[in-house]
Amino acid sequence: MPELGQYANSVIGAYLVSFLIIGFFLVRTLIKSYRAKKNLTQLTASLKKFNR
Amino acid sequence: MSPWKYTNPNKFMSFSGTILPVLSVLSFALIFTGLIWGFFFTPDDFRQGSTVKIIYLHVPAALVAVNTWFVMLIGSLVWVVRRHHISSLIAKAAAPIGLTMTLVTLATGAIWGKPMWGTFWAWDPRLTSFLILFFFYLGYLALWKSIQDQQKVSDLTALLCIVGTVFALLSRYAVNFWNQGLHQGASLSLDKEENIANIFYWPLLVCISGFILFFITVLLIRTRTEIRLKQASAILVTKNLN
Repeated sequence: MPELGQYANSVIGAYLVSFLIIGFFLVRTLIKSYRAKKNLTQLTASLKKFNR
Repeated sequence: MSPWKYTNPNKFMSFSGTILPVLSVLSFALIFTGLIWGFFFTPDDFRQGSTVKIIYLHVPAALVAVNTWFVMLIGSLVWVVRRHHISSLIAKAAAPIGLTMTLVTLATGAIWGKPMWGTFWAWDPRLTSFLILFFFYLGYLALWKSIQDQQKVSDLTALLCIVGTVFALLSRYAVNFWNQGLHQGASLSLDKEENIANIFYWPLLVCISGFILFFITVLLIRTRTEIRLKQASAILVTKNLN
């Protein structure tokens, strides 16, 4: 770990906050993507059954 | 080979599905390399001490925050002129990324500002225009959620995006227009003499490249999600009609 001196709290705080914000956003994006894909797959399957 | 062929949802899904794995690995590799290089292998600044290490998050986030609005502008203009649904979906998909990056910029800027300027916030031209840009992102997303009619909401959000471009430009160029304010000048410039020192410049450039690829990766994922949601609602309409 580099010697951050008197500004250690600011530097570590900035990195933590950034990772939290971007991490939270990325997880939400991936969950939404997964749900949309699953929903479309189910709807397409039910439409094929309906049309037989 | 016309780029307009990718306005076909199936072609877009096929192409984006192929390049996504490569883009995601590359973006994380670049961000990881840039941050490790900048955090562990660069010295402190003689004026700012170790807080200069915040630059490797703050500047790339700010660049993506401003340029996301221009991507939305292109999507909005293509929608207005050519009425390709994908272009309005790309603009819609880009907005949350811009909002997130604006938030990261404001947060890291505030944390950096406290030890350097003695305050978390100042009504500096660049900070203020970034805050307004943040509110424009919020307004844009709120507008998408508020109207059911897809054609109408695409038109209105395109209009909002075109109007909001003024603030995106101000955020990018405010430091050139006004000489007062706390915020320092550009870290990167086409004029080599204005750039930060090379020892900070190269890891910063790696981080910026990583953030840009990250933006493209997440934009493709979100646009694919929007296309799937639209296809799902079309199937539901078909089922209800039958």
